[in-house]
Amino acid sequence: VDKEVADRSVLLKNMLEDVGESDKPIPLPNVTGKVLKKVITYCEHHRNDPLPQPDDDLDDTKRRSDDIDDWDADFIKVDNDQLFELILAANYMDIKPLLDLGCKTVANMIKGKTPEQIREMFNIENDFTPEEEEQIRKENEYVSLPLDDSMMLGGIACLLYYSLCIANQSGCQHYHRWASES
Amino acid sequence: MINPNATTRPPIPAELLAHIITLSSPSSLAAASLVSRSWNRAARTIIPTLGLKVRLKLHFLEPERSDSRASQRTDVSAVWLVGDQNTRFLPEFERGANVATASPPRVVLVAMAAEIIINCREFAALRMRDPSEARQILSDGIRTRVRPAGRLPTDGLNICFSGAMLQVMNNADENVTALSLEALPERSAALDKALNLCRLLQIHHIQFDRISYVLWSNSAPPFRGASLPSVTEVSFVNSNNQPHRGAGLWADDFEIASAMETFASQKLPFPNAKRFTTPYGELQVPPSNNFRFLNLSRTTVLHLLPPSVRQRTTSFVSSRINEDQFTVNSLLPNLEEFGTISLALGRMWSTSDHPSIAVLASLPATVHTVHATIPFAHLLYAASSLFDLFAYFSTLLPPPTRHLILTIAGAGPTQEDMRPTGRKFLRALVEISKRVVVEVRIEGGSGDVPVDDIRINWKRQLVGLEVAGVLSSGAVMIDWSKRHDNGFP
Repeated sequence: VDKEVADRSVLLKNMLEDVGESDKPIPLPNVTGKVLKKVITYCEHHRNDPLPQPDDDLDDTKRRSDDIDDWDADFIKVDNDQLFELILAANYMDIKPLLDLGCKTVANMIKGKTPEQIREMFNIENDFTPEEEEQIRKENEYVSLPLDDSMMLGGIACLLYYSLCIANQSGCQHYHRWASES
Repeated sequence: MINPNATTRPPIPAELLAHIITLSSPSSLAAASLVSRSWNRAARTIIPTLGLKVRLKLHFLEPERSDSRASQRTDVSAVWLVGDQNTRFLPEFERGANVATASPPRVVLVAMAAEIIINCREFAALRMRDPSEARQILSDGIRTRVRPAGRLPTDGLNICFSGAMLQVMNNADENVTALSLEALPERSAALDKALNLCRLLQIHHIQFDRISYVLWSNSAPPFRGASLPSVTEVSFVNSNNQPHRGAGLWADDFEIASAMETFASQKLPFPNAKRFTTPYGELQVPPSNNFRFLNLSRTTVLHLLPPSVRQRTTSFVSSRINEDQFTVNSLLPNLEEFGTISLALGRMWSTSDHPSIAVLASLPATVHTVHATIPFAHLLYAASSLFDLFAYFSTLLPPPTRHLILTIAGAGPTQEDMRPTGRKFLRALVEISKRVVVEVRIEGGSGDVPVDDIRINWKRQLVGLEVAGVLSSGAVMIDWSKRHDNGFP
């Protein structure tokens, strides 16, 4: 692998700097050969991209999950097991763009899904007791309103406004007009 | 219950799961908590946030009267009104200071703009000593209102105080003159406190209704109070206060012009204000620290500007340039952008003594951009004269002019007229576009066809004419202007 490609991984870059010019193999015990091959494909394609900067997280576009480009979207079409392996490998090898790509992909997959659907999708065991589950449902009541986000926003906003109308004893004409416009 | 197919892959670290959840939708937070214990642990590291963008509406109520009706009034607590409208995403909350630190990630559950109404009599009760205290008191008030409504986790509530509207309100059953001399000291003191509140809260956009501004300008000394360095934008708005409707409307041309001159002369305590908008025009201060007077409906301000401001004025765009009263002697020495010339067909441009011809001939050599306007109706009914008009107009433009901003206003075409009108209009620009770059702004609003549709259709035609070589690429640009509505950002 070219040094330029290897340098996409902060882990490898640091290791190469430490060992200097050497033919010795660099061990990557936490990454399988199949996943490593996939990681190299990603790094080769993005070899000329600018390296991530520390303040990239402040950039709104980096914090959205709907801005995956076509090549990346095609690249990340793997089964769920391999998707999580890629995320773990990217995390271990410190390849932030690949980590973001994996996380955004999973984030998109869980949008609007119920806990049962998420478990089924990723083959996750439900290790809660029924009592624990009930308790958590109660704690999260405020965010378990309608699953559609726009509905949730409108719903909460209407609730707020309605309660304030009552609190202010100002009648609910505003609420009804506002709700019908929402 | 054991899932025999459960995966044996290494667990995803909690911080990675939390990152995934924050990238997903707000509703995923609740679902993720219930997936498994590891997902629940990750979800618990996330601070759910209700983002509020707040507009303060400060009402100056009439002084307490001593009659029985007023003494029975119990309206002494600050009024909080939250929930004016909601918006999906407010980036300022996402860019919170905690993002770059090791603090847990936040999920914006609800982001909404809110309106808070505060009676000025309550300012004393707020006992604000410093910005953090003022912010805290207001934030607590909002949280108190929000918490019982939706059982929201308001401890993580982010609040952005985005603007303040200063509005003099009258009690509905009182008929006291808002600007009466006897009421002036008390109201001026209330206004002083309101502006101090804005200073403490570091509000960046202040709106005045007419009465509050007149009160402030008549205070002793005028515009008293400490400087407000956080203010970047000032607006005048018409008041909807029924008892004061007459006094609350900005209808006085001289009053607005005088205020613009005051703003430009930096007599207001807003050292960093870069934009001043009114119902009758706008003044911008770009980074070069010049002055740009735009969208004016009068030219009165020209006669009020002191020499120092005149020297620094680079843009003057008014719809009344064609008035007979407008004289070339009024022109500013360092103008770069000037208008608006009315391009009406017929008699106006057929006579050599048309006032605009004299004005164009007198423009200083610094002018590189000229604004002009033409009604849709003239495009619809013009024949070959439209081509002649633009060709003739191009000969009148001062030699340094490189840019013509042509606004098309009035009732737009019908659906069937849209395409032929655009074709005729664009072809009429062939000659003038060889002389200057023509930027077309479409402002119609009362026609059958939406402005966006006209723009798309005409832009398509423009591309066709460019491909055919009738118009040079980039010589004509079609855009539509976005009028500033004095609303909050």
